[in-house]
Amino acid sequence: MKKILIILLLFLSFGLTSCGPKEDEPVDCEITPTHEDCEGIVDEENCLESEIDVNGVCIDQEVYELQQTYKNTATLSNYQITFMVYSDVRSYTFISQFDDDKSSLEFNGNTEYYSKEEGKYYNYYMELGEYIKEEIDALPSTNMDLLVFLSPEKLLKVDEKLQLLEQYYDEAQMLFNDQFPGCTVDSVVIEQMNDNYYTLIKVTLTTDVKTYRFEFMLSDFDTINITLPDTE
Amino acid sequence: MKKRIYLLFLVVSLITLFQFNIVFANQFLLEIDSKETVYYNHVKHTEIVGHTIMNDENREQVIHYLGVNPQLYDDINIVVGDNFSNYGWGMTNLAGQIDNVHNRYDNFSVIGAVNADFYNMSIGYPVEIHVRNFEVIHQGVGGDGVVIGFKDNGEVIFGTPCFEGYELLSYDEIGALKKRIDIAGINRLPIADEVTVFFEDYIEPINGDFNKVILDTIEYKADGYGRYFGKGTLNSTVTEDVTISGHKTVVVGNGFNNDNLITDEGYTVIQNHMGCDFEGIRFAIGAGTRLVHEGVPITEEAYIRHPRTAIGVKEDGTVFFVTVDGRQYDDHRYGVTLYELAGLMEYFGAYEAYNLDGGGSTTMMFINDEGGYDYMNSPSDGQPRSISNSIMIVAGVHKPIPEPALFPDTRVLLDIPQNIFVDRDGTLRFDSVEESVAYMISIDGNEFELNDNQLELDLTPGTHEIKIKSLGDRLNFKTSEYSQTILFEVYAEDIESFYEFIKGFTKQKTFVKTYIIE
Repeated sequence: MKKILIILLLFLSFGLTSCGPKEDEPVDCEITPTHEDCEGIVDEENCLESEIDVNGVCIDQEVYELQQTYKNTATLSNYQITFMVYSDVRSYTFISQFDDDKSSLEFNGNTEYYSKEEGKYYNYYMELGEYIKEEIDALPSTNMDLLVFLSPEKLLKVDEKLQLLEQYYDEAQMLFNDQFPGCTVDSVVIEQMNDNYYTLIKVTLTTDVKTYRFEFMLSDFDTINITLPDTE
Repeated sequence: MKKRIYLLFLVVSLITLFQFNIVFANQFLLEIDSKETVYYNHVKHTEIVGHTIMNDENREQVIHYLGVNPQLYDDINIVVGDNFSNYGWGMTNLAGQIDNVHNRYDNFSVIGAVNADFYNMSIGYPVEIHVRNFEVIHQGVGGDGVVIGFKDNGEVIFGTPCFEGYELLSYDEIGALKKRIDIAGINRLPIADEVTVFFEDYIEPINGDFNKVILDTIEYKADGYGRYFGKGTLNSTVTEDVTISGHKTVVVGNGFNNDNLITDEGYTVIQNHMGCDFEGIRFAIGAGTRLVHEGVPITEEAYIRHPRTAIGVKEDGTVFFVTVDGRQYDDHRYGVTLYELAGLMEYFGAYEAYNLDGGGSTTMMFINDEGGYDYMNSPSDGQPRSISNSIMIVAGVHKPIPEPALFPDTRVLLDIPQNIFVDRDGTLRFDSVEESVAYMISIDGNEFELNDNQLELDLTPGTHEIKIKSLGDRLNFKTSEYSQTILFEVYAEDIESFYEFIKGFTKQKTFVKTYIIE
């Protein structure tokens, strides 16, 4: 009788084991949606209307698209930026073009070039009617990359525009501090975007002398072809 | 005993003389109460407060002396000032005329000045001649005064110039005389091979099958008595009838200027040629009554007291000016007669001296410690009067007279400088031109010579127009045309800062690849 009872208990314990989920097997969230492994992973049909499924995760569509736009913009490698500076009644235009490891900067009728060649950094500039190629230090002393700085979590959508949240203004000032010591950033607004990139960013900057509007207009994506000038 | 009395009388007389500091000048006495002298760059200014005594008439006076010997110093010269407009006459006070001299001559800085000739107070032309930098602006309107000429070597001459007829002087772009031709008549058509000139007061059509060279007038003077001065640059050459409108001068002649005497470069002067002792005089001005001749006062006029101005020259070449205030009796400034003025000029050592315009015109200015100018005397109108012309002692050397230019000009035309640009350090650069002796740089219309083919610019923020030409020599190579104008923008420091920011940004985005880690 004792033997029969032990065999019965063994059967019973096997049976129970087979009922629970196995360690390596994926949890069927449809059956056990409250299981801890199922947290945040919801069937597409269960995402809200304003959400999209990204790798099985429901994310607010607008947030997701902004993240993509930011990511695309920050990692751009072939494009043009037209910088506009508005000071008093005058405006000044600077044009930078980027073509992977090559770039150009045009201002006041002069164009100079930068390039990265075999791990070295070069500046091409005009002198005596010919371009001079000069090896230069790689990096500026401080970060000036506004495009990387403007990540979605720092932005607030207001009237179809994206404003930099006020708590990040001090950080934004640091971008300009080398050239404008003691300046204050009064506003940073992403005014326009297309499906993929930020296309117009406006910054209002105040120094102890005056206030400037500084615009970054991005365009000509993936169409820039820079030919470095001939040098002797 | 008698001898002792005479001796005592003599001693007492001498003591009296020295005690009261009485100066004898002919029959004129100057008693000096105070005397103060200052020098500026060899130029002496003295103020005397005292009394003039003549025929028992003792008058309180304030007298000013301004003088220098320009023959001793190359960088001290005498020039004339005025306020004539480009197309007429004009007046202003002495301070305004000093400003005009500074604006007209960048090589001179005024040290002291006095009013000069008598003048027409409604129109502003002087009574006598006015010659400014070799240009006979005014021939005088028949005054019986004398003309004072100032030579480049500091010598001063007095006399009456002769006028030998109108001439046309064609100068090249550097002011070298290309050719002088006689002008046979004014405001009439030429006969045969004559060349005549029509000035802008001629309103009838200028007809006839002549060459008519139309000049844009730079300066035009007419005294209303048929005497003219004109200066202009080439506008065009036509053969059809023309009627002068605006500020134009027309030179007319059979085939005139077929030889390209007058070209776009350079300028043309039409004036009555001044000769005799005044040939080649750079500056000349009129004066009035002679006061002292060969060291002796000669005027007889001794009745009317006025504020006075006079010019004198000493035997050693010192040129000096004297003003005496007057018409201010409450202020002890009585003025002098011409007789007393002659005595004063003798007192100051004049070998030759002449009266200039006086009364309310009498003014003398002298440079002060701050580089400005103060009125030394007290003008009797209560304020400085607007006058026609003036004489000034200036610091600075005369610009050399260029050697006459070759005409016809067979020199080889130099190339225009190429590849003009301003590099990123703000240095103006251009290709040098072989055989060019120098370059003329024009920045916003201001010209200056440069011996090199690069120039570090120091310009104010804004847009600047820059052009360059190659300068030739007098024998073989002719100065080129100006290059095309390049525009160079100088940005204010703040815009340069934006430029630096964008450079940094561009470098960063080129050299540093960005990866977004999710």
